[in-house]
Amino acid sequence: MNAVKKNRRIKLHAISMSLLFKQIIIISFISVLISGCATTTQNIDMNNDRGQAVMGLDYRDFQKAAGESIGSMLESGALNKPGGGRYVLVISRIINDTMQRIDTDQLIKKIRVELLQGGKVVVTTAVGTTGAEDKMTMQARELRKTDEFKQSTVAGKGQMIAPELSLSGKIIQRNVRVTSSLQQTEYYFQLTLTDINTGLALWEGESVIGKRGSNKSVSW
Amino acid sequence: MFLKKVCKIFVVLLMFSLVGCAASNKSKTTKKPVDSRVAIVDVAVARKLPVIDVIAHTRPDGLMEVQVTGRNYTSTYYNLEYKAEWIDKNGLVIKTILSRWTAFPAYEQSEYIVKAVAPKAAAVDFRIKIRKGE
Repeated sequence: MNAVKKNRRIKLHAISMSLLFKQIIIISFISVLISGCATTTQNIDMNNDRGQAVMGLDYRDFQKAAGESIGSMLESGALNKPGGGRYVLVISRIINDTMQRIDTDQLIKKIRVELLQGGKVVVTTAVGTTGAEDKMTMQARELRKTDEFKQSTVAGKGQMIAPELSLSGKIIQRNVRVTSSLQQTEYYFQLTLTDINTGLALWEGESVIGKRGSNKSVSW
Repeated sequence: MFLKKVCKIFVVLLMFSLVGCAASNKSKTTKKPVDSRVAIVDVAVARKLPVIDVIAHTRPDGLMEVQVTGRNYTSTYYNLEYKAEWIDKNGLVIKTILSRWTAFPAYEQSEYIVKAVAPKAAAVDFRIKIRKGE
């Protein structure tokens, strides 16, 4: 009698053990599946990014457009001031005529930094299409009215330099349907460098970036 | 008489050996790069699309300008990329947005040309790397 009970107990234990074992396998399988689905975050190697292109504009496109524009400007010699010295440049209106929300500084800042470092141009922030880019230039002059400031340290009158060149431009997007499942998006980065004194364009450049991809991907 | 024959044979053998040496020297000569400042980093590309000419000069405005000419000897179109690094008089690399991998085409059985302008007059030397694009 005791032996039968013992056998039954052993059998029950074996069954419960196999059930537990199955449960462990299923749980570990599901957890592996879930962890496999999770996308890990990675830092982009900005110097050698061979990652997949996107239908919209990404930093690589702005780098390409800025690089091409600067290269073309330098090659043209338009920034060589007769008699030497540096031109004073003002950033005029850069129109974003794309379906994307773009801060045009993504393009212009790169160009400004490069031209400034190149020693061909200085950029004025005291003038802009919607007022001064840096309003402090004028605000600091209001200190002339107060006795709290040593007046010899306040910016004097007639010290600001007026711009000689103006950089304006436009970013255009054009969508073309290639097939029922394929679309093409073209981006045009157009820039113009104008001599403010004469109103003549000294340099003009255009960079085109084309992308072809699925209709399902949106370019805005 | 016998000595004369031996001498003749010796002279002929010497001539053959000299010619042989010359030939073997020629075959051992490795093709030097046109300009050590221009390097094609992919071995296969360097063999099939070698650089054949490099022109570098400083313009009147002080900016250095470089033109690299190569030839695509294959019947395949290649999308190549180049990266120009500019170096100042102290041998230091000038940091610039222009030093980035830039794509350019190498059409089949044609010459390809890369042209680059230094970002500032401080650049007195350069390094150009070429690789296969995506």
